[in-house]
Amino acid sequence: MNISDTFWTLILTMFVAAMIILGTLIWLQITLPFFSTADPVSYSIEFVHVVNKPFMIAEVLAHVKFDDRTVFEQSIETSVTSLQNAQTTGLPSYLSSYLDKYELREYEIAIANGNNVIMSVESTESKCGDNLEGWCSDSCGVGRVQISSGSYRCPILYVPEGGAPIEKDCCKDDIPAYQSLPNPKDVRSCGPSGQGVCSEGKRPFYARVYELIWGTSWKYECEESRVDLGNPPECGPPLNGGNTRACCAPMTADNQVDAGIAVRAIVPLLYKQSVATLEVTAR
Amino acid sequence: MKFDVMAIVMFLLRMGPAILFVFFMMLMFFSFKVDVRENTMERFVFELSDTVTSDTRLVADESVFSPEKLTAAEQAEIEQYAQNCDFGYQIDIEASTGPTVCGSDNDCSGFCGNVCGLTTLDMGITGNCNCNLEVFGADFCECKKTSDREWQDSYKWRLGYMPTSMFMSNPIVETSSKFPVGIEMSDTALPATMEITAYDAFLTRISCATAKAFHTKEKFVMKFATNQLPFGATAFRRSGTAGTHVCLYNGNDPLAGECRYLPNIPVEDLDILAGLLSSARNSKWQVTAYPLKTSSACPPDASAIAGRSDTVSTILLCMEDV
Repeated sequence: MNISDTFWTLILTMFVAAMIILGTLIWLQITLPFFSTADPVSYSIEFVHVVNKPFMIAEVLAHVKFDDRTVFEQSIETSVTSLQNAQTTGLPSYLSSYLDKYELREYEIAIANGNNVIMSVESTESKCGDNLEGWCSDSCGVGRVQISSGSYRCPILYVPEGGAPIEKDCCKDDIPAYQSLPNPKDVRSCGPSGQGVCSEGKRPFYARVYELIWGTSWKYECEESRVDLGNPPECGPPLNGGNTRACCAPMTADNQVDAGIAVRAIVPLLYKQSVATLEVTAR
Repeated sequence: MKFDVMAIVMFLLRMGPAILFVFFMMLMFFSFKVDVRENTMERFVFELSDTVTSDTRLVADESVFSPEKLTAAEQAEIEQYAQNCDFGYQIDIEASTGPTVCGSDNDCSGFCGNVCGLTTLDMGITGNCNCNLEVFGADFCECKKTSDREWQDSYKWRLGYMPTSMFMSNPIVETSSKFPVGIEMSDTALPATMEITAYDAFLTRISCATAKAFHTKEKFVMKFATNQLPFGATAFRRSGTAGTHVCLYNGNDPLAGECRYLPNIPVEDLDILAGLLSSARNSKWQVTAYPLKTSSACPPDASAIAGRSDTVSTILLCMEDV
């Protein structure tokens, strides 16, 4: 046998072995969920969804009559005077019960005159507390404190044998109250306009192992009932040892619109020199 | 040839970087993925919602449907109002208000007139208007639009194409979305939900290939697997004497729900069963829609196929295995 044949056979064997190892690694990366977030070089195009629900709700409200006056008529009178003077104190509860029938995930209707919000109603499905100041969540995270559910209770998670039902936590966004808790984490603002705080978020048990192996950070998602603003660098290490990488904002209509998960339809309410707006936010 | 270990080591050292470079390029190549999500059906559903909620043949005001117009549209074909060649669709509109409480059948006469559009009321459980007795909870009104329809206890309309054979063989793809709308009621609007379900099924594909071949004067190919064919479908042809629809047939009877509005497009009958039997073991097929200027059998002569400047006299559908 020629030495040259042996040599090239060795080279070819090495090459084939390397190809098999490489192929196996790529297959693992593509197939297994653990590896699939490794974010290989990718190029993604997704056409923006058409979102028309808030506009359709505004169109329907233009036709709805309540107490002998249309909703728009009551809204204009409210924006020019007030709920009391326009005798529209029943409007918020009427709008709330009307929109609850649509079973939307979140909604808010507001009558505003410039920056002055004259009236506002919002969905209460995920809210809790005596004055609906809290959000039902699996855990509160940084910047929120657990409060009593009060009259608006959270869904039951499970019922232990012979014990009281375990509900979801009722969490209120309150940074000063959070900082007064024993052993709070450092609170740092984040997000485009500082509306969020860096929080633990949700992560699977193997996130740490993943980070150690691949040297890249896991995508941390926010706790339930918070607006996820991603994992910005200001939330990364050394802040809280790298354990608060999710940037989470309160689930307000403004924050949802800013984050692009809700859309707002704005209807002008014109009366003489007064220009107000009826704002419908929904998702 | 002398075995020179040093030469081999040196060669490997020189080749090493080159091999690593090849590996790196391969890694880059295999790691690169292009992900394009057109969401065509979802976009169609949203665009259709805009079209439907502003069509004055259906609505009293933007997004507020008129019960009378919807009842009239139920008798007609919704694709006369808005059509997409590629997808069929069904629209369900249902009021979100709860049931109407009643004490006796007579309390439901107004409800049955409004909700089911009934002018002749036949009261009772065997008729078309009834006060349903509940063991627990309040009794409520219900009515039937026609004797073969199910009871309904709220404003509800169903319009459009729904492949009923989907229970036996699934449509190829379907997607749906819900939209908040209103139903005009005296001088206000009841909250309601409109659900649009789009279907990409055998019938929509074959009818669309036919329409495209007719309008563009080019042949169109539609591929399908045997299991995507609705159960019992043996033929595709124009239906009835009016000839405004094309349907899938089982023998001489059209398959329930498997018809589509497609007027003014002449199309030759397609014998699906004969095609299937011609190669019984095969499971993948294609139907080619040819625009013809003169009649011809499958496969058509090139001289019979219509060109750009010709008038299309008919569409010939030829089925063959792949």
